[in-house]
Amino acid sequence: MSVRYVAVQWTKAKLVYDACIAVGIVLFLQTFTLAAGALLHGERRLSGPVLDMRAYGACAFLLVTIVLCIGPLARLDRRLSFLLYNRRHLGVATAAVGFLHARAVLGFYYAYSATPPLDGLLTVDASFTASSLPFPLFGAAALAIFLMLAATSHDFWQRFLGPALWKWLHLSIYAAYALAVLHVAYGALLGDATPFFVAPFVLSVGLVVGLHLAAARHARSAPSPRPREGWIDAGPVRAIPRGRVLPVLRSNGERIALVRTTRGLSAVHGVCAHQGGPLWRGEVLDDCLTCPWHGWQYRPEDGCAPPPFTEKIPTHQVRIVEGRVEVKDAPEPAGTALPPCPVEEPEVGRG
Amino acid sequence: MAGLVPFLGLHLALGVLVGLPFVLFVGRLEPSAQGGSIGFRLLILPGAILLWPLVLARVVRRRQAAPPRVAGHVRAHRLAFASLLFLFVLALGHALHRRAIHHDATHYDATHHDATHHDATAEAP
Repeated sequence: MSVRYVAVQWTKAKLVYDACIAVGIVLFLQTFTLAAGALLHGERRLSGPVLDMRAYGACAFLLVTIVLCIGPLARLDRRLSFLLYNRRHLGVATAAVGFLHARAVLGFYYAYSATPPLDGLLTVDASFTASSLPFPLFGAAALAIFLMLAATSHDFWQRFLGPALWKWLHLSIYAAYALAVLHVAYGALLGDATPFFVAPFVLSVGLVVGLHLAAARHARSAPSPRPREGWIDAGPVRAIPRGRVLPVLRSNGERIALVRTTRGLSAVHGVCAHQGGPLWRGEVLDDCLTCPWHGWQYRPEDGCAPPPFTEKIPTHQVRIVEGRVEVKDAPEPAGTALPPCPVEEPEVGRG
Repeated sequence: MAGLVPFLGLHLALGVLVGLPFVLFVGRLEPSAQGGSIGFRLLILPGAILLWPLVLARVVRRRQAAPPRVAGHVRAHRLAFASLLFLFVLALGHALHRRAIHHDATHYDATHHDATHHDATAEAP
């Protein structure tokens, strides 16, 4: 949450996260170089510049694999949600390492060429034939998308372009990943890659696809109360303890976050205004609904972020009918104050 | 494909023309960016250069952003991964098949070369 934009809002957690990324990248590059030296002998031995470009390329592919695995892992097990906190820095690191890979490739193959590297890339290796596909072009297109995603990863872009457009723009990471897979499959895989490289590559692709399919199946199996006359049954009151947040599925597939605070029951739009985080999986801190991704907070009774912040999300009416909680399917405009629905506590210790 | 290079150059040149004034006066266009630091302005400059048509469209037609929704994105995720599953099985199968053919051919060449070399050595006086 921010009242004035800065380049990066550093926190201790972000510094630790970024330090882990940097150390991980250095360790991977060193390990790759040592392993390639130990495993590749004779004609398969790689020269220094080729080894560098392979190491950067493998590192960038590993990073994008991790980036794509974090989302479904967090959906499958909420204890892993902390990995989402600074995922965008991992994405920026992917673009940076991918850029180093491209620089090493163009610098090596066009070092003594009269053709400018970009011209060469778009003309020399750009033929589509039955026996060869232009794998350098696939890599260049993937890198262009990664750079665009990194350039628009600041919160400002999400606000300026609007959450919907920004999210659609960033879904292009799947296209970039597909291009990166084709780049490796028709490049390094067809070249002199050893089985030690082929097996992890194929397994990593299977892991990314498998995790996403598992997460989609997991989301589909979540409880889905059906609306009746514009109101959705959210279950008995006693099933919602104080301080808990429960998801309620709307008729259009969106989720509502049903919150029970000390003041009663309130319901707000289930998607955070920051980066589309799942507020319905959030927690109540200081009587505010807190997003599990980046800690943005909203007051459940009016959907407004506490001052000095200005973000607002829509609210939903809540009522209790015969001991069951019902939430109105249609939302009120963002920031509309609705009094919390009071909950009568059962009297204990009497008799 | 070679025609893409001047097109990319033109796109980036226009991007600089749009991007520089945009980051200088972004506070007037977007209230949340008022008083943004120099580091922030430098950080959003590459995005403004790359996506300048989108920036211009947003500057010309500013509108209240709708609340973020995810149902459409969830469907898009599912569609994307169903497509990717199909693409990856096809592409990896094809690439691994070509790799096997390539390695067989290399192995045959090496064996054939050794045999020819051996025969030639045997026939040498």
